[in-house]
Amino acid sequence: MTNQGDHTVSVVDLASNTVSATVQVGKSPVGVAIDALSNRAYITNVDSRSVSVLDIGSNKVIHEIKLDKVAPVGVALNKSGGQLFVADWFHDQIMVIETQSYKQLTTISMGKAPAGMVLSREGASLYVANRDSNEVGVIDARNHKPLHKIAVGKHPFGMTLSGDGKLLYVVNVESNSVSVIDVRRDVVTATIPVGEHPYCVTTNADGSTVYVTNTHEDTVSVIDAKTQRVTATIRVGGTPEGIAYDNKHQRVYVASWMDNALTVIDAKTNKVVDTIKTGAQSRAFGQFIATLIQK
Amino acid sequence: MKKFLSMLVVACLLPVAALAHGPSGQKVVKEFEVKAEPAKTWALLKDFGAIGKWHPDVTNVKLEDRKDEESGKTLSHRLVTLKNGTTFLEKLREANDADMKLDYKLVDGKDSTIAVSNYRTVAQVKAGKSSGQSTVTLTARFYNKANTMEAPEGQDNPAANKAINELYDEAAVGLKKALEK
Repeated sequence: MTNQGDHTVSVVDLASNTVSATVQVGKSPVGVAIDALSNRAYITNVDSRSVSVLDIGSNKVIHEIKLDKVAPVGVALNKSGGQLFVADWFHDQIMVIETQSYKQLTTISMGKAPAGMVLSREGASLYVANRDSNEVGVIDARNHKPLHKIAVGKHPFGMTLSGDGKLLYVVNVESNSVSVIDVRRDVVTATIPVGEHPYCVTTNADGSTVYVTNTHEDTVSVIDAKTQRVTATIRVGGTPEGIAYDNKHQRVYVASWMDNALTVIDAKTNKVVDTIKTGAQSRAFGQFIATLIQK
Repeated sequence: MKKFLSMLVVACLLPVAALAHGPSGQKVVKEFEVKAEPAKTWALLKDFGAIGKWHPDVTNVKLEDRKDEESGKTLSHRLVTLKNGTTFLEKLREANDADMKLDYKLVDGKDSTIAVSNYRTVAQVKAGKSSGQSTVTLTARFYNKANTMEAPEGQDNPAANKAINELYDEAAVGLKKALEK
């Protein structure tokens, strides 16, 4: 859980819903990507223009990757965890960084203001929400070549792959909607209206239910993936941003930027069951829940 | 030629990128006690056009219903002028009597010269620390006026925070004065 206001990451134990550690990172952390295989979390720090590398076994920062004049936001890993993709929306590019040497391998330019990024399940394609060009860019994750673009709504930002890996959900911030992309054909198959100024999206493990944060109305929209309709709207903490699904306990965790907290929703009842105090201005942009392989 | 073309594209894109939204939203929260019943405090706060009656810095208020571009609904809008000449147009999105919560947003554009953009406030009244008192919480989320990380002075984060802090500090003074008499 990245906390923009106090430059920390809160580590939350999902069994007890308590903060087990608070780690100081760079300035104004936003994005998070977790590599459970190598016990690492990568945190993008917008204002210090860097990426903090956390060991999630010991909860210590093991390295800070300095980026020159770059405002990193979205972050994702390739399938092996050997390469890190960092979206720099000020220079309309994605940096590819080798995670062992921390060296920048290359940059990929494809659309304007790249924000959220998601790797396809088999790891072949990297999807990038190009916020200011209103499209999702598809990049070959192995040779880093742009493949094609998919037009979506206005200002695509957060994205997620459905639990079964077949669909990509893209939040269109200014259209108040979610675009559904079939990733076998890379075409938009539906556009679902949600609440005002949506931001991030997640699904449950089998992909049957989709959850979207609506930042300007402090709610989460619950979508039935089969009917592609909103079936419930849940009031959560102020300015909800990052959202992730915990399969083990069947709960949805929502970062509340305004309330400095994590709102916990029981996925079976769609009721808020807990609120966990985190750090100032929680964001957690990315899939921030992971199970440790070994401690 | 190809290299030249790609350089040209980069050169064209840069100014556009500079206009893009800054990634770090700003936040101001003020909480204060008012020696008045919560219902009384709420009644004054939710009267959207009445800000001129209690905010010391407000010199003029124009209240009217307008169509909201974002939601398509007709919402109550107030065009406020401050002592220092600053203006802002705000739209009332929700006045929730059950939660005593007011939710309003700035309409960016020529009517709003205040040094912020993408500004939203949630104002809430709760029962105070002792009976007959109210706790008022004003929370704002906004970006700097220039909407970028490399903002010029006057349109940057310090200027945006100063504008909202002053507005809220005087709101606290004015609400107390109006309700505690």
